[in-house]
Formats: sequence, C-alpha cells, structure tokens
Amino acid sequence: MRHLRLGLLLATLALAPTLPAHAADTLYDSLGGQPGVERIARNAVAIYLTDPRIREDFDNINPDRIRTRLAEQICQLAAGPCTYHGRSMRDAHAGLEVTEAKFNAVAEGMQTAMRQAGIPYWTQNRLMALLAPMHRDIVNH
Amino acid sequence: MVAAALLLAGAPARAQDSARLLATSGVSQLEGSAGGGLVPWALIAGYGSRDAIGATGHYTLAYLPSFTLHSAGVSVGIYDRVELSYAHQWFDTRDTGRRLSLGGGYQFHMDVAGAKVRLFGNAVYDQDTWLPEVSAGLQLKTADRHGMLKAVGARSNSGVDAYVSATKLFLAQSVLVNATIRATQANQFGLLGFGGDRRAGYSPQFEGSAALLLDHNLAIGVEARTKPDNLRFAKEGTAYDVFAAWFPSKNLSATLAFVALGPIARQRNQNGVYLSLQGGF
Repeated sequence: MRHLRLGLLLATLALAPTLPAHAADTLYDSLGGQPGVERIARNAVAIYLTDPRIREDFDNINPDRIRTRLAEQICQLAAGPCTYHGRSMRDAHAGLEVTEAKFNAVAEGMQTAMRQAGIPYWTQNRLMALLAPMHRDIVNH
Repeated sequence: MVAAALLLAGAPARAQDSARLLATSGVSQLEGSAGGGLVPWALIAGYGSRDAIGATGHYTLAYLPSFTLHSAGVSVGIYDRVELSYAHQWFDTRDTGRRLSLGGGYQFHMDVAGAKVRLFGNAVYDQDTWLPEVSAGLQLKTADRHGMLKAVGARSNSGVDAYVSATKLFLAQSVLVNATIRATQANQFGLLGFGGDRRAGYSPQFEGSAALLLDHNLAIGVEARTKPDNLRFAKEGTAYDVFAAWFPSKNLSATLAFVALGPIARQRNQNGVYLSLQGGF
C-alpha cells in the first residue's frame, strides 16, 4: 500500500507537463507563432476595455498601441523573434494606482483571451508563469 | 482576535473584492484551515486580495467503514495575511460504538479554533524564484467526552497544534506542492484527546501535498499526513488522500477524495470517501 501511494504521488508529478513535445518548440510556437500572439493580444485588449474593474484605466490609452506593445511583450517573453519597445512595467504603470485586484483582473483577462484563442490550459500557464512576477513592478497601490 | 479587530478597524471602505485567482486559496482542510483535504497550506482562506477580506464556510463528510467524520466551519482571510478559522467536528461511531461498548451511535465532538499568519512569499506571483509562500499557524482544539478520553489513556481533552506550512505553485508546470511540519499531541486529530499513556508530549509530524492543475477550475492531487501514536489501546498511523477539487466559481468548490486514515480505535483500514463543499468569497 505504501508503494502504491508513493507511486500515485510520483505519477501525479510525472503527469505534469514539464517538457514540451519537441525540445526546439518555444512557448511562442505553442502559442501559435505571430498570428497566435496577435490574436491573444487583440482578445485581451478587447476584454480590458470592457471589464468594469479596469476599463477606466485604459481611457487615455490608444488601443492599437497597447495591442502592439502587448503582442511584442508576449512574443519576447515567449522566446519569439520580437523585441518589446515599450516602457518598463514599473514606469508604464507609475501614473496609475494599480491595486492587486486590478492586476489580477488583467491576469484573468489574459487567461480568458488565451482560452478564446484556443490555447491549451497547460500552455496558458507557461505564459502566466512569465507574467506573474510582474506583480512586483506593477502593483503600486 | 485582537489583531483581527485592529486590522478590521483600519479597513478601507471596500472590504471585499474576491480578487485572487480562481482556485488559488485552496479548499478547507479537515480542521477548518485553508489547505488541501487533510493538510493546512500556507495560503490564506478566501479570495480577498492584500487589500480585502475573504471568507469561506465548509461542510465535510468522511464516510469510513466503521465511522463517519463530519466537519463544518468558517474561516476569514484578512488582507491575504491573517486567517482565523473555527471548525466543529463530530465523529459518529455508528454501529461500531456498540462493539466498542460505547453504545450505538456514540459520538465524539471537537472544536478547533485556528489562526494562521503568512510570514513571507506568495505562492502565485513568485514564479521567478524558488521561494515558497510560508505561513505559521495554531489550531486550538477541545474535545468532549473527557471521561472516555481519560479511560482510553489520553492525558487531556484539549491541546494546541502548531505548524509551519510552505506552499509553492509551479505555474509553468501546473503543479502545486505543499509541505507542513506540525508539532502536536493530538490522537486521531484530537478526537481521541491529547497525549497518551504510550507517549505524553509533543512530537513533530510531517504533512505533504502535491496537486496537478488539470484546468482553470479543476485540480487533482495526493496528500499524506503522519500522526502521533500516543495511545496504548489502539495503534495510529499515517493518513492519506487522493483528491479531485472542482471550482465552478470563486463562490463554490467541491472536493471529492478517497481517504485512507489507517486504523482508528482498533478498527483496521479506515479507507473511505471524503466529500467537502465550500462556499465563500
């Protein structure tokens, strides 16, 4: 019984999607390359502009600009062939009072955007893991 | 409680935000703390962000071959920093009570008041470090049936468990891992009293959990929890569970588990079904 239980524990850990199918595949590829990343950014910004928790924070922001920056940022984070040309996360949010609740609303929007784009859950989490530490720089209130 | 009152007094107007991400506050463990099914985790109860209050209520049933264990309770999470909880457990001996000369349907009861403080780290945000979220907690337990507990060899009908939990979400791998060290005198979680005629004092116990996130609202996992073996009259061993937790919304979760609690009061192999419902915000 003891071995069975240990086996279950190990099986749970072994099931974890630690390795991509091909070592050469980047997260960028798993997100669907450039079209996939752009679709995610488009979906996300559409959500942010209508989410009552955060839409006011996007009042003075050009949606096209933020879509472009967000796509660049996702692409770069996901080891794609892009460079993010925007400001640092700390500087970009310095003029806003970003609470943890707002940060999480943006995170939930990103999850929804990826779900809408057909990104598998475990792939979503690989991107979310790269975005989560931004809490430190973005939440300032 | 004083700390809670002070914190509440300084609370901003908007005290409730349900802003933490779905499933990231775990469920209610047996003694009412936020955690897995058996193990308290470092996570603070409810979905309140660092600026808000969260709360949960739970009802849990473990249906075992010889006994039924119920737990019902509430917990409050304050600013994702402090957790206060209360749970009432009742342990129905069903027909086994007659065999143990207690009388059919004889019940043991226990109250558990819990307090937990998050010391450092954040299990969700700290994805670029190995640092876990670490919390320390107390569970103050009082069992009834004082005379009966004395008769089976327990030293006391009340005791305090102290624990430290470290919880880490490996988000890129969709895996959550928890490790808890507990100092306790409790026999069968405290339902059979505290300390015993074989061993009286505190002993360190280890509790571990590993969970795999299958979807944004579904997790499966395993847990193990060692327990002291203080009483001469009956052996006590490690408890295990294999669980699936479903989070249809931030206001509701349901956990179904297979539990193997080991021998209880001379009744062997208490393997059964565990069902827990939690509501909250």
